[in-house]
Amino acid sequence: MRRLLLILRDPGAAAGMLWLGLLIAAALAAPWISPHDPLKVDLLGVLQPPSATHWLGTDDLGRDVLSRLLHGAAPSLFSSIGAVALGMLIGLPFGLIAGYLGGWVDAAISRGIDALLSFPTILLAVGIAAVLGTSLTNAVIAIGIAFSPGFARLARARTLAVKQELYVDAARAAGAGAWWLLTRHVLPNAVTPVIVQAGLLLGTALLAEASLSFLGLGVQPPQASWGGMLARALLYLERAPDLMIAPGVALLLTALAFNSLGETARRWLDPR
Amino acid sequence: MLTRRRSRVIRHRVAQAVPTLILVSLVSFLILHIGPGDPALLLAGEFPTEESIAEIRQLYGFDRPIWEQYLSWVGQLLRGDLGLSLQSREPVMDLILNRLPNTLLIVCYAMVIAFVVGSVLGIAAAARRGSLVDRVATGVATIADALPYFWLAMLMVSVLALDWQLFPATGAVRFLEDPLGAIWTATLPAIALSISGIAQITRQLRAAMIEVLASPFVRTLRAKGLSPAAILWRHGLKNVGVTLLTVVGLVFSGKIGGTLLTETVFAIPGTGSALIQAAINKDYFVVQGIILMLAVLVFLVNLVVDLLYAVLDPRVE
Repeated sequence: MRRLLLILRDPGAAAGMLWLGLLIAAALAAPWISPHDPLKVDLLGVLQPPSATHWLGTDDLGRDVLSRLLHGAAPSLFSSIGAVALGMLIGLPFGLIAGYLGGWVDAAISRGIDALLSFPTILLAVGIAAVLGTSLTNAVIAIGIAFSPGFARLARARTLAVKQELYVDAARAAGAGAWWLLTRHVLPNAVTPVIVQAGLLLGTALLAEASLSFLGLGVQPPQASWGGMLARALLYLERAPDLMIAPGVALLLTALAFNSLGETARRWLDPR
Repeated sequence: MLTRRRSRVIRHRVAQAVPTLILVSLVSFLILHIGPGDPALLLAGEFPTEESIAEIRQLYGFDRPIWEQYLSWVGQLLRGDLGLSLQSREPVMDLILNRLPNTLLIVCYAMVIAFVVGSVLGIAAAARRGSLVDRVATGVATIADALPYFWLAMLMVSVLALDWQLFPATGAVRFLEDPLGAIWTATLPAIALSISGIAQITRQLRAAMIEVLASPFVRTLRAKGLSPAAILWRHGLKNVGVTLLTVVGLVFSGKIGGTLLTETVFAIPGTGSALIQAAINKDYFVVQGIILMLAVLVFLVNLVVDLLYAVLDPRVE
């Protein structure tokens, strides 16, 4: 608890937590606090500058930018968390098994990890999203799969180190089976750096989801998403350059907050 | 000269590379087959009929066992055949080779920017640890890490290209036809693409340099009366050189991934924008071919880095 207070004294971490807290509240309350319907088209009031009725102006179809920004918060936030969790769920077991069993199983899984790591994250995600079909769920699955080899490699390295520890030998000598050893001894001691890694990847996942939605491979219009808003802004770059400001700043601040949160988790869990 | 131990390390790395490369091709092949349905159904387009599906299934051999399909795909691949685009009927290999120079230009350009800026920031921050310079460098790295680079690209187009007309807003110039024009046109895309690399290199180099400067041999050099500048440039740089080498692979992979969006924002006819177009149009052979070629490129760069590492790092002995 005292350590938590010390961390909160770090202005960066405190600001990050505050922003994320506000954002989660805004994401959950979006249907009630949005000043307008985010899908309501008003062709007589397109590309309006900020005003008393439209605080952040309107987009190319006359939709309220602030309302779309608020409704875009939920897909961004929850898909980043979902993608990282999925990557961990897929990668962790493979890493544990490879590190624990060794031999040809390890060789096979390790080569598989190497091969998947040859694919840049976003490249793999685009390929998977293209085949699965374009939707937010599929984008989350695609990013999760693309993250999994990194998690597997980390879990494998940790498992190899933990396996050497005396207490694992002792448990094995006492007659513990492989499943017991893995779940009771190896996993709890190998999982910390994996969780730290997960925290540090949240920002990457956020930008990856925004990228896919920007490219038209994530959240489908007319549903609001920050990446999708930037895609519309790109079409109107000459006529209405202001359209890109709000979603871009929202993405930047959220990525900063995620990264500072991840960094805080790292310092907390992994004091090295 | 390479010692026997070094050449053994190198042989081992190359031998390990072969199965990995085969797996890279397998992953690219399987991407078409991970979908919930039949690949023939994916290829049949908007209004599939029983006959058209059966025809496609036979045409592409989807009725054969999957390992047989993979082997014949690899056989074609070795002859340089990646199939035809479903949209334009153009050979996928031609499409890639046509567009790859544009991609490589902005990727290499971005690598140069990232390494120059990242090295300067990282070394300056380590040399003056805790100073204003250090805080600026760390701040730049923090923001660069969180900055959506496609948004930065849009900001640059809006201000530098459309408002001030300093750079062309979109497109690409063929390097071989007009090298200077090509580099000039590629400048904004390369800057946008270099951002995450700048963050990675600054951070890694700062940490590595701080470690070197705190090590006992540097203390000895200092006691000997060597100036801080000489220590930094002569001894420090030599020791962080290997760190720089190990980030090359990581940064290159990030740049190849980043070109998908960068090329899309700047409307550059490269492999990245072609992949996105193909993914949206469900032109699966183009998607498969480009993913394979870009992954092989990343893989080869990493292999070369590994081999250089084995040659250069005295600790391999």
